[in-house]
Amino acid sequence: MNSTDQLRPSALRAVGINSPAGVNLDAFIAWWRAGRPSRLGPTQSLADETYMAASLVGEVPGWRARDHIPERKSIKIMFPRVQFGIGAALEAWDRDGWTEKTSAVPSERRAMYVGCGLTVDEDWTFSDPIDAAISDGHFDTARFAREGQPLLNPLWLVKGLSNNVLAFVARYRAITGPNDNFMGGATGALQALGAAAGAIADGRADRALAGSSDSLVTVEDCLAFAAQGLLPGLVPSQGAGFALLEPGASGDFGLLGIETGFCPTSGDPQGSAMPSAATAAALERVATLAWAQTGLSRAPALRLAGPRLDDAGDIDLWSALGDPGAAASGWLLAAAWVARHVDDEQGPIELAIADPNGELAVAVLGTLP
Amino acid sequence: MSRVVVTGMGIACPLGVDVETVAAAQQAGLSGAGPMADAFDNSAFEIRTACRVPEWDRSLLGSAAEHFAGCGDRKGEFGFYAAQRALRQAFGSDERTRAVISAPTTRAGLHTASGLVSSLVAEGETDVLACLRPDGSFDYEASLAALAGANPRRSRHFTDRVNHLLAWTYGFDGPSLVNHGACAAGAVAIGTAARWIRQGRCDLAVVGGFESMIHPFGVLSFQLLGALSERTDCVHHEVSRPFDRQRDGFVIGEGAGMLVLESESFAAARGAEVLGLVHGLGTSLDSYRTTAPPPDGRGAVVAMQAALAEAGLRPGDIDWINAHGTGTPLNDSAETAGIRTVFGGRGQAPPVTSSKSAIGHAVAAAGAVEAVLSLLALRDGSLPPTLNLHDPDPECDLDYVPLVARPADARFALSNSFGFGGVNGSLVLGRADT
Repeated sequence: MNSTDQLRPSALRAVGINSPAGVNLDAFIAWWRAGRPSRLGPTQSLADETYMAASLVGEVPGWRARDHIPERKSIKIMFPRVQFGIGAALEAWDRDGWTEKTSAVPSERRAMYVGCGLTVDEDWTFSDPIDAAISDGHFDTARFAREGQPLLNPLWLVKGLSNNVLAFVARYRAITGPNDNFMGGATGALQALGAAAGAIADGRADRALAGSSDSLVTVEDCLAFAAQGLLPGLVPSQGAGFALLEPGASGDFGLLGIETGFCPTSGDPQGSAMPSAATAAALERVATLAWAQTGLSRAPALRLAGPRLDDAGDIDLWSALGDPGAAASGWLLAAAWVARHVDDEQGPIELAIADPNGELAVAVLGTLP
Repeated sequence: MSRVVVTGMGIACPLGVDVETVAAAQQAGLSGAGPMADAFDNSAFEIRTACRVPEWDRSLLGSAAEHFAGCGDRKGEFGFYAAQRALRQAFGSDERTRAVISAPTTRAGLHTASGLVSSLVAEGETDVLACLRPDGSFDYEASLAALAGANPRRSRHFTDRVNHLLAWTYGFDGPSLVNHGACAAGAVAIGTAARWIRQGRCDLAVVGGFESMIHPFGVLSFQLLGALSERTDCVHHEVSRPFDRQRDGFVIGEGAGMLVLESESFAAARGAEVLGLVHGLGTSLDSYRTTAPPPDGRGAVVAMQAALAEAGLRPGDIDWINAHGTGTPLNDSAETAGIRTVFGGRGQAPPVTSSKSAIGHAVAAAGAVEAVLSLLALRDGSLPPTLNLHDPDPECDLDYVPLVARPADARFALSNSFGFGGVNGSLVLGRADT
């Protein structure tokens, strides 16, 4: 660690996003300018919509992985949530005209932090192997090994790695430096933002990606939500959002403060409870800590809040785009970027999000002093 | 910037379920390997050996056992149990733990590490999976009934449920994350939370990892990748052979390792006993292949050098390395090459041990379990052995502490953990007096 580099501020140089508003930032901006109309509808991606038990979902329209992922042969081992993450991360990374030839940042000083969703078997890879293992209505382990194994994609485990967004983007952009991949529920991208800014602040990285991706438009998720009685209130959605960070200077749009926390009374011992008054109070406590880092009195010019909070903030993304799980905080990053660069919002922007299971995060973005 | 001390340790691993039993077994060179058939009917599988947590009984969790009943969440049980034991060592009792952690002036975080795969397929929810129709489609209503009948809330957020239970039980309100960094996850979780404490974001944290993939889906998945040892020509405890010429893959393991970390000042203020220190973490990405490291170990090199830098140490300060040392042909030679690059060859590099020779590979929990084992080795002044190393691979030419433990006045250890996706984590740990 170089002590002269300590406490360097982070500027947000670019963002990438895919969502039901479209496949990239340009589509998101067009949707924003059009007054943010609803993009929810019946599922197009799952063959049997009885899986969904929900009349509405949010799906990324017109998504073609080969338009966003440079290595076509690997697409077959990427679940949709991985494809979305890679697409948004590369969009953010490349948006300032970056090329490997002109980059002055060594690979070991390139960083990436990802908030992931829980890996699920999105395309039901196990369907045939398990079908072969069912005997008298019960799963037979020996039959699974003998008759299911030949039907199983040998790369299933590789396909299911929850750090695949990180791994593939690292390969595509020679990122070999500080990194992390974690699950913080809906707060993932803000957790990633804090970690990436930390790597820049203490001099471990000079260019860092932070974001999240997820898809709740899956059989397993919808089964779980239905079993918990969350459908049809919750509208499953999908997508990703990433921000590109670099050391910032006075006047840049950047990170002013960030804090995370947990609300131990928001859920119950089995988890997955909806946010409560206790969540709101705990989020307020985290916000106080985040604003304390900014040196400003708490007076956001714009407040963007996550899904499922009673306080929807100044702009409600979720009734139009659905709930994308871990990707929600990634979308907040992109929305803040658009508010600054499209709506010319010059004051501080507060991003606040809570996961139903208790994770909390608040970030303050604005003009670096 | 505050130093980070360890004040509590908890473990559930193939050598036992309490710290002192495990410490003694490690020094005695015991193996936790046994027949996989103890876990499930593996008669049609090609893999015969696994390292299971012995005689696991959910009642070890006490009253918390009720939260896991009917969940099939073996790994979560390990995780909660190990955290509970670590907290009791640090604070003396559950009541005192709650009093410290829920105090308005305390900010307490959670950073754990866990699994790779879908909860639906990994936790044996085969009643749900059995709802496939003969034509390969899916009976939604039947599967929903099966899922709801078993436990309606168990599916989506499974890997972070241990964090939620710990928060709910003890009142944690600081940062909370679950690392999903494959086999590097446990080490990275520990090192990241140590940074939270150094940065003043929290006063203390419970950190570590938990995992169990000894089930048909996990075993078959690794088997199809050719990652597991298929050896059948020896007894179970001789199957795992890291750095040996005859190595042919890892033995799958399971378990949990948890630590209580505190800022040095917070621990001192309450008169806590210091068990060790977390000095630094280095992470890197191979940017190479998903399931294979670069042969020169360059990703590992970046991680080890970054860990040393954060710890403020030079290579010569490290007294011992607890290697990732899986026993796969590719890992062990690449890791050796990386160690040579950072520390020099035999005679310059410190002694190296693979704990996986005794406990197998606990996947996402490996780095956390091995951090506990490393701290115990430093405390006990004895480097644990690499078991079954009778015929060293010429490409693995370092001092691997073969077969028997070795007394050593070791102060600093480096613990390596590398994972699929090319993620690497190296952790610098210190003895209590460092």
